[in-house]
Amino acid sequence: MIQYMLRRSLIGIILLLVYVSILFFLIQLALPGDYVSQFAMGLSNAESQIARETLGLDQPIFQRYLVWISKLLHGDLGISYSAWDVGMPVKDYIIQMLPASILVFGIGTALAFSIGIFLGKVSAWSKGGLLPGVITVSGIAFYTAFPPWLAFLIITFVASRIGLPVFGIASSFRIREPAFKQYEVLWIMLLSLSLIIAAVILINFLLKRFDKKTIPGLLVFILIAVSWVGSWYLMDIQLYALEISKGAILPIITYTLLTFGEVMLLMRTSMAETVHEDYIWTARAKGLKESTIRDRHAARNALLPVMSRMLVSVPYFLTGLVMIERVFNWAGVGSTLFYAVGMQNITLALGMLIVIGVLSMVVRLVLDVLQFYLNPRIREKNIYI
Amino acid sequence: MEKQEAINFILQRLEKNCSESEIAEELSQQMGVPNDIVRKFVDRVAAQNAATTTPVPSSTVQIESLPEPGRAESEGGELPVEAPAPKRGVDDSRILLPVYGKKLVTLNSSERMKIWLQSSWKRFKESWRIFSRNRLALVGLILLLIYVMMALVHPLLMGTVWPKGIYNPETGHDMDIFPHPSGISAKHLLGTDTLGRDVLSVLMAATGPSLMMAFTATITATILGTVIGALSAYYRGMIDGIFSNLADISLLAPAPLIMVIIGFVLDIDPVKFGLIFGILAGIGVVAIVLRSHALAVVSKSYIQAAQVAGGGSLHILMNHVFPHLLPLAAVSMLFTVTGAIFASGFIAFLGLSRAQLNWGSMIYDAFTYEGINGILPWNVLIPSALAISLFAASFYLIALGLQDVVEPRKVERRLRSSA
Repeated sequence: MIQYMLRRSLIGIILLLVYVSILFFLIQLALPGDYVSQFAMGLSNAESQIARETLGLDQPIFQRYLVWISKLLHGDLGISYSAWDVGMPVKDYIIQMLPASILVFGIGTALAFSIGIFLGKVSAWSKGGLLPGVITVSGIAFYTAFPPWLAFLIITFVASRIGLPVFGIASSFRIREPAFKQYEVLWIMLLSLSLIIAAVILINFLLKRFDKKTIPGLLVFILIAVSWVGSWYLMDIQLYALEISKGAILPIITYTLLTFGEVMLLMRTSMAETVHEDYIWTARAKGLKESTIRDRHAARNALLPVMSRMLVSVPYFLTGLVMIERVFNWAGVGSTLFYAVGMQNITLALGMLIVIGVLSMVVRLVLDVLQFYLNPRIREKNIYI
Repeated sequence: MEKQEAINFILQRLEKNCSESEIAEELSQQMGVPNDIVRKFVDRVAAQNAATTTPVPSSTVQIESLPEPGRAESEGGELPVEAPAPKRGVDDSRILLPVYGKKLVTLNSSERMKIWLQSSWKRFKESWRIFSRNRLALVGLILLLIYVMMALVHPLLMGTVWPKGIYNPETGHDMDIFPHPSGISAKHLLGTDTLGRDVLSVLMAATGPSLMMAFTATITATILGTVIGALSAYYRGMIDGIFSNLADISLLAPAPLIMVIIGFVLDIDPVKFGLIFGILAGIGVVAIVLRSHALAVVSKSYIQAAQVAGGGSLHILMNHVFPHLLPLAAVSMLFTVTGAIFASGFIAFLGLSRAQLNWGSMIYDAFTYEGINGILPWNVLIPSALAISLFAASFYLIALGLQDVVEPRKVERRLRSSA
C-alpha cells in the first residue's frame, strides 16, 4: 500500500513536470505580447527594454524555459514579475494564498461528500413518496446551477438578511491592525483541524478494535467542529479565527451546494442497484435493523462505483472552486490565478497552476487510499473507474 | 477489367479447349499486364476449375446478373455479352443466404438496405421505449428541442414580425418606453434591459452560439475519446501507457479551468471554443471513461472470433469495437458538456467576451448597469440564469436517459427495485 502510494506519487511528480512544461509553452505562445507590453503607454522604448532585461523576457523562450525548469527542480518557483521593484517570490504567494483555498476546498468537499452520500442513500432507500423525486430534482438543479448566479442568490437572499460579510476576509481587521497576518492564522487553523481529524480517526479506530463500537457519523462532525472552535480559544486566536470563518461561510456553502448534487445523483443510481441484491434480503432475514442494513450492507457496496467516478470528477470540482473564489473575491489560489493570467505574469500563473495540479493530485491520492480501504480487491491494475 | 470478368473470360476460353498459354497471351494484351504474371493467374484458375467438379445444387435459384450501367460502358463491347459462367461465374455482389434447408435466396443491395433499415428502425423503437420510460430524460429532450427552436425562430422573427430597430439583440432600443429597464409587457414579453434591448430577443440570439459550441464540443470529444479509448484498450502496451499518462496530465488541469484561462485572455468564437474544449476533454476524462468500457468490449468472445477468422486490426476496430463504444461515448461526453457551457458562461460573466452574445454576458450586463442606475433588472437576470442552467440540465438529463438505453440491465434492476 505504502509502496504503491510512493510509486503513484513519483509518477505523479513526473507527470506534473511534463504538464508544467506544456503549460509554459502554451501560455507564452498563445498570449499576445508579454508582461511589459501592457505598460507600453507609460514606458519609453528604452525603459521597456530595460524592464524586459531585468525580468529576463528578452531571451528566447527555450532559454527562459531551461532557466525556469532548472530552478523548479531545485524547488524554486521563481519571482513574480513586477514592473516597479523586485517582485515577491511565487513561493510566498503560495504560502499566503493556499490556506484560504484549502479551507474552502477541503471543508466544502468533505461536506459535499457527506451530504451527497447521505441524501443519495436515503432517497434510494425510501420506497415511493415525494422525497426521492424532490431530492433528485433539487440535486440536478444544484448540479446545473450557474456558479455566479447561485452565489448572487445566496448573497441577496441569505447573506444580506443575516449580515454576513460577503467580500474578502476580515477587511475590518486589516484596517484596525495593519500587522494582522491572515494567512498565518489560517495555517494554524488548518493544522489544528487536521490534527483533530487525525485524533478522531484514531479514537474511532481504537474503539472499533477494543469495543466493537464506533462514534456515529453526526457526532463525529459535532465533535470535530466543537474541538476545532475550542482549539482557537486555546491558542488565543479566536478573534481572528472567528472573523475569518465568518467570511468563509458563504464560499463554503456555495461550493458545497454546487458539488453535492453530482455525488448524490451517482450515489442514488448506485444504491438503487444494490437495494435488490441477495445479501440485502439475507440481512433482512437475519432480522437486522433497517438502518444497519442500509448503512453497513447496502451503502458500503454502493460507495465503490461512486468513489471510482469521483477520481475523474474531483478535478472538475476545482474549476468550481476557482469560479467561486473569483466571484466572492476570496483571496485564494483561484483569484490569484485570474489576476496573474490577466496581467500575463507568467511565473505567478504557472505557480498557481502547479498548486492546483498538486491539489488535484493529492485529492486523487486520498481517493485512492479510500478505495483501498473500502475495497481490498482493487489493485493498481484497474485504478481507473 | 475486374478480377471476376477475367475469371469468366478464362473459364469461357477453357471450355473452348484453348491452351493456357494462348489464354494468357490474349489476356495480357487486353489488360496490359506482363505475360508471366497473367500466366500464373490463368494457371491457378485452370487448376481450380479442374478441382471444382461438384455441380451447383439443382434447386439453386439462379438469378441473372443485372448488368450495371457503369461496368457495361467500361467494357465497351470488348467482351462478348455472355451467359453467366456455369460454375464459378455467380455474381459476387450478391450474398447467398441459406433458407429452409438447401434452398438459397439471394439478396441484392437494395434488399439488404431495406433489411438494414427495418432492423435499425426496430432497434430505434426499442431504444426509444427505454428512453421515454425515463420521464426526466423526456423533459431534457423537450428542453433541448425548445432551445433548437429558439435558435431557428429568432432570424425568422427578426425578418418578419420584429422591426429591426427595436428588436436587434445588440443595438435595438425601444423609444416608446421610458424608463428602461421596463417590466413585462405585450410588446416585450420579457421586458427590456437597461439599454432598452428586448430581453427575449437577446435570449434567443444567444441560443445559436451556445448550441454550436455545445455540439462542437460534443462531437470532438466523442470522436477523440472513442478513438483513443478503443486504441489503448485494443493494443495495450505503449499506446495505452502514453494515452493514460496524457489523460492523467489533463486531469491535473481540468478542461473547464483551461478554457476559462484561455477565454480570460483571448476572445475566441464559440466554435473554436467548443473545438478546444472537445480536444481537452476528449484526451482526458472521456478517454479514461471510454477506455474502461473498451476494455470490457475487447475481452468479449466475438472479438476473438473475428481475430481467428482473420480480420485485420483496423477491420476489428472499425466494425466490432467502435459500434459498441459510440453509445457509451455519447453518454460520457454529454456529462462533460456541462463544463463547457459553464466555462463559456463564466468567461462571458466576467465581461471578457463582449463581442459575443451569451447568457453569461447578459448577467454581467445586468450587474454592470446596476452600478449605473441602481436598479437590479430581475427580468434580465432570471431568464438568462435560468436559460444557462436549463441548457446544461437538458444535456445532463438526456445523458441520463441515454445511459438507460446503453445499460438496459441497470434499468431492469431499478424497475424491479421500485416495483
